[in-house]
Amino acid sequence: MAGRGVGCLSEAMGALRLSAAKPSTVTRTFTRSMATEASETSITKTASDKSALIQSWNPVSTVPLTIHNFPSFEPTSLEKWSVDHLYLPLRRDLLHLAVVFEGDNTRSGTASSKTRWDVHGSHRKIRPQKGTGRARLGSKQNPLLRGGGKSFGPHPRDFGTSLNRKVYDKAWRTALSYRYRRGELIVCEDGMELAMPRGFEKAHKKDLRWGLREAYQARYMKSVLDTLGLGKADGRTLFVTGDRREQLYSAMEQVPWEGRALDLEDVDIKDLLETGKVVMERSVLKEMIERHQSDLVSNVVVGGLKGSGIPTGQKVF
Amino acid sequence: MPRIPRVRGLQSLQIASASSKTLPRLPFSATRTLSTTAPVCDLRSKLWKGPAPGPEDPYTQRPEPEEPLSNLPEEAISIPRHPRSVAKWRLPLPPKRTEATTEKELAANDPTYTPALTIEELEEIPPFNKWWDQPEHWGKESEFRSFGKAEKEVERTIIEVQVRRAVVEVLSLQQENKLAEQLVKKWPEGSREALEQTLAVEIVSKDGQFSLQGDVSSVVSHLTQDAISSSEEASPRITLEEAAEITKKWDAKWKEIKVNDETKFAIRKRIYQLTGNLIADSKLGAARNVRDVLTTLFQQRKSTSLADELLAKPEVTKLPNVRVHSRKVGPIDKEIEIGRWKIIEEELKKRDLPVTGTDGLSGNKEREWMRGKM
Repeated sequence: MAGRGVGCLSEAMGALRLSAAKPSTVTRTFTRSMATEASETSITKTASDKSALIQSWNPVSTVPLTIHNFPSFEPTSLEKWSVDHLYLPLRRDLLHLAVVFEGDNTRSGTASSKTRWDVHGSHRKIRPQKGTGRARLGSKQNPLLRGGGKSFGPHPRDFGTSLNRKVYDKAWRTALSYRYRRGELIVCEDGMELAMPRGFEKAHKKDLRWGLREAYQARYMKSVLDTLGLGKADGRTLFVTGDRREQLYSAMEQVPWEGRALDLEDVDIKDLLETGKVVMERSVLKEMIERHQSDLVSNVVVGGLKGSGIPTGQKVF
Repeated sequence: MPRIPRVRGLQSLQIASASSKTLPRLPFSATRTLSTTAPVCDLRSKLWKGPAPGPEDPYTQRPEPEEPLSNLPEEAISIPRHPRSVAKWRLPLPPKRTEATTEKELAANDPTYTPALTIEELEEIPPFNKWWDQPEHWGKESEFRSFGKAEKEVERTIIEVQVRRAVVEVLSLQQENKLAEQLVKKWPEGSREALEQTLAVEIVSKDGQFSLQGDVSSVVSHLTQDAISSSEEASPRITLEEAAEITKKWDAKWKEIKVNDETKFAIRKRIYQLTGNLIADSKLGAARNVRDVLTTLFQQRKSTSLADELLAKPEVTKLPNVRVHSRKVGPIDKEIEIGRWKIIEEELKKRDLPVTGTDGLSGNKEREWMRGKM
């Protein structure tokens, strides 16, 4: 406790001297005389440095986003995106709510069974009430009998749950931010398409029959993914484009274990969180953010104009 | 059933023409036992002036398979079908499907032919979906080339050399006011000479300001030349020893060079091209100087096992009462340590008992009885 007191005192003295330039030297004087104190080791220093470096960075308004060429991944331009779009803190609770909400709403809920009143047949009494020496029975649709109805069986219903729109939208941007923070979000120029080798493009359709085309696409796509560090070894990849891109999609369909390719309409939060990396077009990211910023855009109309919210992606060069 | 008996249905034109095309098939007369040699030879000598072409008896003897005729000179025939520019990108496709010659025909054509007697002697032909897996079918024409280096560089000293190179290049471009226009272009990887020239440029600090000393213009000219023309030459490789030698010459001051968005972008791009390490935007955003860029690049090597990690710690290995084992210490290990295991093993073998395990028999039954299990 004494050590702590000294530390506080020196800190206060430091503040009095207005020497804010070197606060680290002030805290160095703080010493603890406890036996359980662990000595400082230099073994994991680089890792802590790295995390310390990232933690020391608190962007206020924008974060940088590099746009790449596809599939070479050559960086081509730099943009600034709002912190509210791509640098939200991780909220696991929001992501959980959103994933459960999506799961509930994708349940088909078509399971159906027949009650005793739905089962086909006459409701005549099977046998007399008395005199046969056997149990009394009514109709043959009795749930206790074989071929009878189901007492409390499933019936078609809607499993869908609701989630506040602003919560869902924030969860969407949280998922994107999580990917960005981890360096797993790679944004490419618009018109993302897999350029196949010239020999493949020029080959006659007739020459690539008997599964030759599919086998070629599979091998080529695998080599592309392995070179770029997007394959199965790196936790698979999700490619998101505005619409179906024939070469990319058909090649990815040959190697589903290496990742998937989806268009914007088919993507939801769970897909964004599933794979190791997410590669998407710039326009797709823009559209995603614009669709999911209800908590940032005011609904109030002023002078006939609604607020447009924070702009998405300011080009630096 | 045809209306008139003993008259077969007419062959379709296609089948008839196809059968006439198949050359190696034996003609009808050849299969007949009746020989027509003598009268034919007479007829041929009468028909032709001088020696008649083809085999002596065209009905029983097969004509020699002729090579397709060509009016082209011999040099022209020896030239490959596709010019070099096409052969560069052309895929090696499988040959056209043809009907295999029958055993009889093979035997007739090739006197040395012997049929296979076991399955091992038969040639194995892989299916079409394995075509591209064969190394001779997957060459340079199908290779994918990314912007970044295919093999990621992990050695710290080599990465440091490449970062230094990138920093010098970026600073020299900045000095010549060419950075803005060169940012979006692909820079050539450069030869060994270019690398050495770039590393020879010194970074001098004066009152917190950094400037370059050396042949800056040649560095810039290396970078601004057409990337396509120099893409043929392989990027120079630096060995670990060389990198260690080079890094010794520098003091740590150059790592204090401040970086802004533009220079960070350029350094990131160059580093990806030279080492295959793509720095994440979120991590690069945090970097304020070259030291931070290096920190984001250096990856801590993951230990393969817990034991390796513990063995690397001197404060653990130095403790007198702690030993690190690479795996769980079992009863056999304990016996080995006191030197009893050899004897146990010998005794077990003498009694014809299994050394480890229960030899497929169930475990200790008596223990289960004692515990009330049946």
